Amino acid sequence: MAIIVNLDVMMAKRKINLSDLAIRVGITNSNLSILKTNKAKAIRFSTLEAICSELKCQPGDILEFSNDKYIKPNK
Amino acid sequence: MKYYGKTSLSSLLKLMLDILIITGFIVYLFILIKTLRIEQINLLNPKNIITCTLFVLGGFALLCIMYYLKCIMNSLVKATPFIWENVKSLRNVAIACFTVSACYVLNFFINNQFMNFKLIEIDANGIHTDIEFIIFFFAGCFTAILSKVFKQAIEVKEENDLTI
Repeated sequence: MAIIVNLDVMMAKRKINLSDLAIRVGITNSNLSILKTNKAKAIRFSTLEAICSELKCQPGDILEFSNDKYIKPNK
Repeated sequence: MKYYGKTSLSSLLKLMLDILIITGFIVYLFILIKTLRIEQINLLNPKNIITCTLFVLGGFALLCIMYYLKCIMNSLVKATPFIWENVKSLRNVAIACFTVSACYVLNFFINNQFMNFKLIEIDANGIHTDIEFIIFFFAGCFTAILSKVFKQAIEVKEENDLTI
């Protein structure tokens, strides 16, 4: 996946662990772990809004696009 | 009426399939042994060899159909119908249905039954039909399509499960 989730970097900056963030955002530990480990296929805006609100950051701080990993879809 | 989960139509169907598989296997073996041993058919005759082969193949395919349907019922009892195993099971049921249909058709021509072919007939003994091969063919086509539909459903489900 070409979109990289830098959630762990922002969590370390704000000194918050996975469980606390999951409770504050209102999602399960396993879902947040899926997001953190780049296994998620999509993220809802409501979830992104909640994460940015708790970590006091912008979406660009936790989401990054890598051109090297981008595979153009066959049409 | 509950269609899937514990104590549902699916669990009843699973039980019926379990009984059918066991009795079907016993009856199948009995007929095979009776034909080969007791009636002592001449196995040097190529027509008899082909007929026996068709019987073995068709019977095995029927048992496969019941077995894979039982696997699908198992998943319905657990209330998890959208799993990759069900895609494979449905595909295998389709292949088995086509095999049974082919055995019917080959038996039809090999044993010269096409001369007495009747689409549907009503007489003093009841209603008779020779279109079982068409039924199995359509069942195979429908099950193959259902397999692809399940595959797409699982892909959509996995996409949804991995949406945070």
